Amino acid sequence: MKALKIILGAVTGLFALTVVIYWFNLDTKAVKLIEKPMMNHYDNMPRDNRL
Amino acid sequence: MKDLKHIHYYEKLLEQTANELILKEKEAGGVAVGYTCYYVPEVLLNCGNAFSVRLRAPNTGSLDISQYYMSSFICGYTRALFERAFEGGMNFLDFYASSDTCQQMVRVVENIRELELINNPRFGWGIIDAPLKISPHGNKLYTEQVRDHLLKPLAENYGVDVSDEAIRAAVREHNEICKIFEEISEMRKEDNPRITPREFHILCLVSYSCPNAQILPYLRETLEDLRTREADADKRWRARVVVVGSELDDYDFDEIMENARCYVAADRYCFGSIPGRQQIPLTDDEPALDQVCRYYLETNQCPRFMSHEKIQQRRDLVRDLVRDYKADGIVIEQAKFCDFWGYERTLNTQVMQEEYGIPTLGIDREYVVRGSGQLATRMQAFVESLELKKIRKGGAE
Amino acid sequence: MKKFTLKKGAASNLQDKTAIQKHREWRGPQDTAYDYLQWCRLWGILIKWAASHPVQNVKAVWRYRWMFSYLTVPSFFDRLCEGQRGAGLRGARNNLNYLASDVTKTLTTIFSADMHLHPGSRKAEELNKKIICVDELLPNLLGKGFPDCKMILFQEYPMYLPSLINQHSPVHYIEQSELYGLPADVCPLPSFEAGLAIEDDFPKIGCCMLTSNMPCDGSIMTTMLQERRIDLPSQVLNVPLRWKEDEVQEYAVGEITSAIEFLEKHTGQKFDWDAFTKGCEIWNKQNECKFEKWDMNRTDIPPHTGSSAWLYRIFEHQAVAGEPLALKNDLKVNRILHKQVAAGKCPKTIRHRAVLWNTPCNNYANFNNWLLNCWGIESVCEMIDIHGTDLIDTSSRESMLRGLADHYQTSTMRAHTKGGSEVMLDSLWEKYEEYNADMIIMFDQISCKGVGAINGLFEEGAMKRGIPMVRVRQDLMDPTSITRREMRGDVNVFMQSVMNEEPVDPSLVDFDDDQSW
Repeated sequence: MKALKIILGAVTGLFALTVVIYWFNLDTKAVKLIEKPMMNHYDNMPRDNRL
Repeated sequence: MKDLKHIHYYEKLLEQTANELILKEKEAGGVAVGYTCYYVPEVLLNCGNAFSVRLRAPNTGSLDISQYYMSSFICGYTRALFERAFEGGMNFLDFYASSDTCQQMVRVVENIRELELINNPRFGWGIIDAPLKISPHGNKLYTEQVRDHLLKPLAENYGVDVSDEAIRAAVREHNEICKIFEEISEMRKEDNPRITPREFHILCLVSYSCPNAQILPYLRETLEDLRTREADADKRWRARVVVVGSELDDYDFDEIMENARCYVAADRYCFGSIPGRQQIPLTDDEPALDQVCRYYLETNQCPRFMSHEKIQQRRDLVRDLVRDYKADGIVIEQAKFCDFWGYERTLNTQVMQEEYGIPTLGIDREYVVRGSGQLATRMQAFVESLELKKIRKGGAE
Repeated sequence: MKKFTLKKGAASNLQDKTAIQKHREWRGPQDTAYDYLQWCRLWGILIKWAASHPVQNVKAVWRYRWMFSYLTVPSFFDRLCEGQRGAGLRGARNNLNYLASDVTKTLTTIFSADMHLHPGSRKAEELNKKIICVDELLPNLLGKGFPDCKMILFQEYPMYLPSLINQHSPVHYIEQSELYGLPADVCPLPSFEAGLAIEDDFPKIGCCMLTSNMPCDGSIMTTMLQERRIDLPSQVLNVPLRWKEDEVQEYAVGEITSAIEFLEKHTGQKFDWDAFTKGCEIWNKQNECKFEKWDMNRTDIPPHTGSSAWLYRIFEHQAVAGEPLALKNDLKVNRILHKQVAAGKCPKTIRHRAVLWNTPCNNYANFNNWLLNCWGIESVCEMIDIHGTDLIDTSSRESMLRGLADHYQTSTMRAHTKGGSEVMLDSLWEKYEEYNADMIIMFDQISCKGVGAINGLFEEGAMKRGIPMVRVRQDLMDPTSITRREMRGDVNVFMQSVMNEEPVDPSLVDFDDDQSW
């Protein structure tokens, strides 16, 4: 019974979390935050550029 | 040097798309077959009473009409041809032999067809598909396409004799012209050549844009004149180059080269002599059509051929031309908005320079070259660099 | 530009410049719940993929600039579903999630074999022996005949898909091409590929490669550049251009036969005709599902239109033709669509039925959504959606080869742009009638020479028939050349000046999304 309550609690918590992430578009906003550092990284990588 | 025989007449002929020799041949019952590209075997368009006219649009001014129909990012050559057709400058054409091998060029004949621009009740057209690598089934396709879309309509609709014998006769006549060019071409290898780049280009252009039967007598006389012509005592050339590239029918390009004292020793571009002005060998054991088509595929230098062997062939040919014509460098010219030569120029400017060790300049240009200050400046700079290289090499030795 | 009184519209939910939704769209309780579940499903696919090879995938994201675009996929799917309700939403989400599932599987294969990520790895080398690379515009149905191998559309994953997902992904690579001398007027698609080659940003995979002349002159040329970096044994598969002619078919089949021999030689596998037959049969059923969708779109209540529809068609035709799971998805989606049509529902405001012609703009993949949401213009028929429509006769090997040859010749960006100008022109007027359209949206891709050279014929044809036609300038996948805002501007001017209409959602008429993915 206790295990069931824990599982139910976890599922409810996960559901609530995903709804919040979904509704407030937090997944997209998180990716946007890392865009600039990633682009900087790509710009500064050593490259073997040639035709 | 004194003026080359008939040079001014040739210049006059080149001022018109429909020059007097074309009109004369038509009056004599000739069938005028226009074409633009090496994928269309020129020699086959000269069977029987047909004669080939490689299309140009000399004295092109504004391209407003073509801009509307074709957009401004289309190559100047195709837009100029369209504009000329729109103006009525191609009403002499009886048949337009095209190939779906350049998406821009094929649209010229498609626009002409849709808009009914040729005011000639006999006007017809044929469009072939062609392979972009050499293979037995590719040769077969090409031969069938040429036969079905070019020769068959010429025979059925215009009564042109396209028999094996007629093809062989056309090849004989073509080879006679080529023999003249092969001899003149050898003169370009001289240390102090007796023919200028501009003159050679003019000769090439008239041989492409005038009926063979009409122009041949003039070319023979020009050759005779050249055999005894003496070059000027002072060697005026600072550098010798091989020019490689896309469609180039404006001999003002050579003037710009000459003004920079740069000698065009060999011309590997469309409307040039390599390929196009070499004799076609035929044997008796195979139909002439098959041999001719195979020849044109094997000698075609269009960058559209994308197999490894053809890519290598193009580079090796240029290397050989540099060697044979004693050139100091290569100029790779590209008509603006030409996709094929845009990439070929980008790649081979580097490859020829770095892998073959031949100084190479890559340029792009408009269809009408006249008055291009930028081109002149770049040529000057390239010639100077070639001169310096020669001096350094001479000093090192 | 007319000014409108701005009620609170869809654009008010977009962040300025990035156009990131402040919160996800409210579509009513049922549709929002459905959308949420599909979003969860998508994240399930992405997490499963990430967790399957976490180190490898992180290495891939770290190594390849284009991989960053895939991190923005949830946002991309949102954009493709903007404004959708009912069966349209359900169909789109199912299609897109299937796409995500297949792409992640292929990325796993690619990265597991990628010698850039696993230098010197024997395992990767062994994997590569079973990977056949093909030019991305060459449909990989042929790969069904090599069931023990994986046929991968080489440029699809580093180039084509990222260009749809994130409009900025091509920019750096095109700049590299131009830095090395490539003219700026060439089509961005081959230019992007050239840039990838220059930067050595293609995964190092495969035992051999089939290149081709698909779809156009620019693609022919970029192949030569790419091959210098790819360094695999390769063969050209030449697809004829005059595909309407019977005379070229023998050659087309000959090229395929030659390609099969090449692949057999380099993979050590024999072509499996039974497996290939099965693949063709499945593809035929996939095609039949597509025909049903088109039938439904001809009705007054078209259920399956817009960006996700054509995108899915391209992917299906190129990458998953003959895939049982793709067919399963198609059957499921069709059931959903049929249900809505049977119920006579149309949960959207449609003021116009438009035929969209020429290739759409990759850097504005959800342009269709904007057309509908802003101006009520429903994309009932798209040229890019109509390709590979002939069923393959599986009764004999010869007929299957002939069918495959046809499949290639009528492929994406080929079916209409090649074969003669009459193909593209006549087909437009036919589709206009067939779909009971009342306007045409003509994509004027400025660097497409083949279609650009017949611009005037479209104009004159539309004028002659009295058809309202708006020309929307775009540059396929170069947003620096023509922006999304400029594309919207072309439509806005037309709708206001020529059609004299007011927008369905005034807030969407003009907004700044230059930094948007």
